[in-house]
Amino acid sequence: MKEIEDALNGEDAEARRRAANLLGRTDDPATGPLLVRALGDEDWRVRKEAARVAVEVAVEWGLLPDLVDAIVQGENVGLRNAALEALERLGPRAANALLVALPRVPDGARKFLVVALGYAGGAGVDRLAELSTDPDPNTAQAALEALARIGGAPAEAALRSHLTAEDPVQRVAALEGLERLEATVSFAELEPLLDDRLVRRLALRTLGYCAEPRAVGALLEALSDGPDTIAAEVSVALGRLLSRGGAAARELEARAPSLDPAARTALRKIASVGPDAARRAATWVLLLARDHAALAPAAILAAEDRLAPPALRAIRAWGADAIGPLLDAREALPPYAQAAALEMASELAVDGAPDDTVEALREALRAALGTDHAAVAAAVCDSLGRWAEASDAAALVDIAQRLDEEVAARAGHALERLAARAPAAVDAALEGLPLEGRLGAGLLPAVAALGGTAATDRLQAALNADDPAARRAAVIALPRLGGVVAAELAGFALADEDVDVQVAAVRVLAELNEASDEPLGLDQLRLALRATFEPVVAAAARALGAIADAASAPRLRELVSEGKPSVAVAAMEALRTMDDPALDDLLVEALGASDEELVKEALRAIARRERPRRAARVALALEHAAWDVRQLAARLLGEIGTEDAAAALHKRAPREADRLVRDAIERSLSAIGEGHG
Amino acid sequence: MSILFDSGPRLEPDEFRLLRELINRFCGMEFSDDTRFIFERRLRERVRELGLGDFTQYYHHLLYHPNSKAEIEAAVDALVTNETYFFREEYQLRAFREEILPELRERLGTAGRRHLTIWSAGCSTGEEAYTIAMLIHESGLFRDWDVRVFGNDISRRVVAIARRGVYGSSSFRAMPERYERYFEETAGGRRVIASIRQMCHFGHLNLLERDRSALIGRANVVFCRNVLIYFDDAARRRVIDTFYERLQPGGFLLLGHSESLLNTTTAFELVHLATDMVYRRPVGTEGETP
Repeated sequence: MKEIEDALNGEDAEARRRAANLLGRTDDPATGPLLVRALGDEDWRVRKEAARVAVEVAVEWGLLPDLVDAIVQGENVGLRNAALEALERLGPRAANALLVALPRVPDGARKFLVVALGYAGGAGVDRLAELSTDPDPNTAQAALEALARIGGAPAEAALRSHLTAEDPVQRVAALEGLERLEATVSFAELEPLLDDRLVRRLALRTLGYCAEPRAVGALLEALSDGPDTIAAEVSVALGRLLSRGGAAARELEARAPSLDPAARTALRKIASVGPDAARRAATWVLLLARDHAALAPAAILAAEDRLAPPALRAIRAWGADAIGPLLDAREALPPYAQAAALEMASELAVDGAPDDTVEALREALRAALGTDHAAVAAAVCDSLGRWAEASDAAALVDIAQRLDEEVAARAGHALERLAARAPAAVDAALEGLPLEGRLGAGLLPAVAALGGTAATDRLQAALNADDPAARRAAVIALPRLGGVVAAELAGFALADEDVDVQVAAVRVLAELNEASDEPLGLDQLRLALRATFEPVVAAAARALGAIADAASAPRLRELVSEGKPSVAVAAMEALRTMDDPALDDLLVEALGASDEELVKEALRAIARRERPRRAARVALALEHAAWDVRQLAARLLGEIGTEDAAAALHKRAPREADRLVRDAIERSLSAIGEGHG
Repeated sequence: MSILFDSGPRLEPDEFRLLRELINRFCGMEFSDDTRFIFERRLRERVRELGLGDFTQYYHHLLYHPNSKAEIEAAVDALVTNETYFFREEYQLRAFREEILPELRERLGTAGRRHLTIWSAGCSTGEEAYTIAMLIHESGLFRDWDVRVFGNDISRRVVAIARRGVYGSSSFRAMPERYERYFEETAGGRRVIASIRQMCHFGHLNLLERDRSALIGRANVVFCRNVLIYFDDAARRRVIDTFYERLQPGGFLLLGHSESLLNTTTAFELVHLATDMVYRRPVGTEGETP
């Protein structure tokens, strides 16, 4: 301790920082005063280190009153900030110390306690609501910000009461708080603020959380009449209304097609150059308005997977009329967005586009076949799968050879589909082409789709390719050939040295078996239960479970008992599907397994078998350490639906801290309630 | 895969969380709640490619398959945008060129150590590593020195691109004209010239694998820009501790403009340069842990 104290008194800041770090390892509350002193060190690194240590030891060492004293003293700002940081990170553990200290703190320093209370959870809400009307404006302001941090109905109510405050700073703080909490605010509360120059912008943004249709009119009016500077705020609010659904969203959807020119102009500008959230929202509204200018930003956002599903639905609803404008828009777009535009145009053409529109689409796709950009090429191939004609076969083979393996695979699938419409053209395009490596792997589906002896020969050759990806592709293509030959070749593939080729062979054998009246491939599947690779055994177990192969049950039980998680999960799933009577004996042990997926599969089996005490056994898993096991248990208890299942859920509910598990408990209790009601 | 029509398996909230948590355990990356749609769309392709039926099967694949590590890397690769370009955040590079390099030249030269190692951590497709190499070359301060720029990334795909050193136009959006001479035209794009490529080495490395980071040796400067933003607090701390370990005392750590070590560690000191603030492992901390 002496060494630490000496170091803390030394000149070297790095040595003092290390000393502060060591204080946390002393496990000695007597070093508390040294830690408080380090919190006020002249060097920020020492203060930061001390704050970190204080979070770890403050409660145990009884240092909370010292930290509170440190934030209300007025001499050392560094000390105050470091103590405040520690209290913030201590969160609810500091609540009581802060509340106890409030009455004795001088007026000027009260705001610092209030700030810390904002991190202390719900315990301080009532006191903060009182302090939000404190005569000291700084304290009142800090209280509003703290309430906005904590949230919940009482905090929201306190914030609402300040929307009509005389002090504009308080009105702003209340609005910001409600917005931050995403609280629903009524139009009546917000309407007076729309004419308030100081808070108008914020009020418009908060209208996005108003569920009433009147909000739409106010926002569109602001868009038409307001300066450019508020268009982004309005766009965000409109996007929020749409995301939340309900009456306000329906009102906006109905009014969007008749947007006035000024509103359209404002939205177009935001959609092309606005900040991210505003850009997405403006694009969405313009799509509802069927505004051509929406399609370029929509293609960019879609390519980045940032266009929300309802906005994508708006494009779909637009239908074939959007194809021409999309094709026009793509020319000015970067390659990745061109790809999205072509794909969307192609998809829109499916629902009965006029012939001339389809022809225009084909021409655009053909022109894009010359691209060197992989994303554009992949999109073109995907689209040509549906729209290619016989004359396109050679170009598809060419692009497969020219670009990367991903493009080759897409071109292969396009040719596979084209083979159903123009087999001779595809055959001619593929004739003599060496199907080697990953490029060959991409084109094998097309070869298989052609069928016949030549296809069998080429697939058989590919099954011996050097590249395992090519062998796997050949195996996957075998069901196209069908019958005994395909099963025999897939059986050979079970002896492949590559695990993924073997897994593909198992799946193909299962598929062939399902498509046949004969027990095709069954012997091979049973043999696969003894394969070396666990994924192969697991795939075989699932396949045999799906066809309820009773002869496999003894081996499946062995696999459960052996306890290798990946295999045991699949085997148990198969036995559950087969309703194997001997499964009961295996479940108890599986419930205690360390692998959570195994525990979950055991729970499913228990819950779905009508046995005494099944609810009680599933309920035990409500105490499991893993959230996903508890969530499944809650869901299964809802399905069981008995009174003891409900009782177990009620018992767990108040103690459950995980959001997803809590939701599952609530849904199950609700389902049980309805069932009994 | 369709854009407009919802095709393929749906990603349920619990599956989304299991996948997020698994990726986080693997590489420390943290994905927010609003990335579920991105997960669903981008990983569907992986599910389809592997011949799986749904995301739970995909999760099992990631848990149990013998090659699961490679598949998690493929998933991360699909989820993360790797877009970068030459001379990104130029003001910081100016600080590197005008202040850090001369200081290192002086300090290392005086000590008789004619060896300079720079680590571009999370180098993506390699533009940053090559930018650093060009700046060192352009400075003329380290002629006849042993100079190494090491770039690493968790994605094997981007490491392969970095090694190739061939770039399209979007990589050059911020590059000053005078550096054009470090490139040569090729059929696939502009390629970094051999003398600069020879200075750079690329490797596949997960920043959470602290032991493997020893492969890099001891660095004089670590660039880790716009990488830590993807990490959670715990992973960020582990990675920063690794940087501390790998840096020579007095070595510099350069983070992205929106990143700092506040609430992560106090082991580095903040150095105010003319055009930027950077972190430095304090001198005299040889053999010490953060």
